[in-house]
Amino acid sequence: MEPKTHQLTSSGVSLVSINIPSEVQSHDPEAELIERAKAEPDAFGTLYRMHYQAITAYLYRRVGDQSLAEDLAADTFIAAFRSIRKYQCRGVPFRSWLYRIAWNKASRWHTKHKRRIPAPISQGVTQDKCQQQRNELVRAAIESLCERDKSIVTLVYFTPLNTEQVAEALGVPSGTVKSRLSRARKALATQIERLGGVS
Amino acid sequence: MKEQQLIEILEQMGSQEFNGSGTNKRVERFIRERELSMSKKQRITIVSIVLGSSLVCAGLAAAVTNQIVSQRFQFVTDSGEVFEGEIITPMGPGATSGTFVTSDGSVYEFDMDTDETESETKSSESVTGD
Repeated sequence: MEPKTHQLTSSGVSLVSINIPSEVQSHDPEAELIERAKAEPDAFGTLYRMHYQAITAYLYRRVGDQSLAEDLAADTFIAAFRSIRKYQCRGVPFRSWLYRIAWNKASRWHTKHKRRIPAPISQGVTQDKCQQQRNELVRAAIESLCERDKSIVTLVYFTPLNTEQVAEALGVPSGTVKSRLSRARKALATQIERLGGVS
Repeated sequence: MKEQQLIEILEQMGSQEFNGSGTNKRVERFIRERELSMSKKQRITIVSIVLGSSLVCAGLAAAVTNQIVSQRFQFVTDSGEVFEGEIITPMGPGATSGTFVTSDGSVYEFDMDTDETESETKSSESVTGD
């Protein structure tokens, strides 16, 4: 393969040609690890250890149950392992790609196991219990949103991704993320009221 | 419900820490099994490869290997077995051996039987019978 030629210019004084072999152009350790992981399971193991906690935390926020979140995280990483050869380092960051897989796993789980509508928040319970009931209700309201609204709300609030990264993960401009988020929050507020509201 | 109240609730839910162990036995077992499978790669001899709708002899396929890496193909072995998989090792034009992986993650090292390279046109035949 022909090495790419980069020309450096310094205030129009001279042009210098430097040949940089394509294989050493990227010094992003994660990108190199991803390339290795396409053929070496132990390199994938390193990626899994780097991202497992964040992905499982996201799933925990989606489903509200630790062991279920761990199960879905396992499904996520096994699916990622099986399709990592198709992953291209340019474009969507690896972490956003993992969140997309996790998002799909959680959505499918919710579709398959339709949740009971949570009981209304009762008076006189402890603050912890009250918060738990409220979260359960908000989670049920999120899951009742359309896929587009649900993806925006959960990726923006339940992951550490910023707006730009969410936009990359969804393949839309960041302005679209903001407008969709605003619309999704209104829909979510309506759903919460419909399910009994929160105090 | 006020929008600000909803934002606060979502931010609070989003900041909930996950207190798990940080490792997952099922994922680790899966990775170990794949490592084991890689270390015990089976070596097979390929006599032909299905390229599009054509069954092409391995010799001809070897001549175009730079075009077939990272694509899914069916591989026919000398014992008549058919595998479907993707070549994962970089192969230059004319290379006659490499590694492919099937969709279930099994990895095979292969050698192409290039004996029929000379009669490449004759040995190419249509899988669909066209």
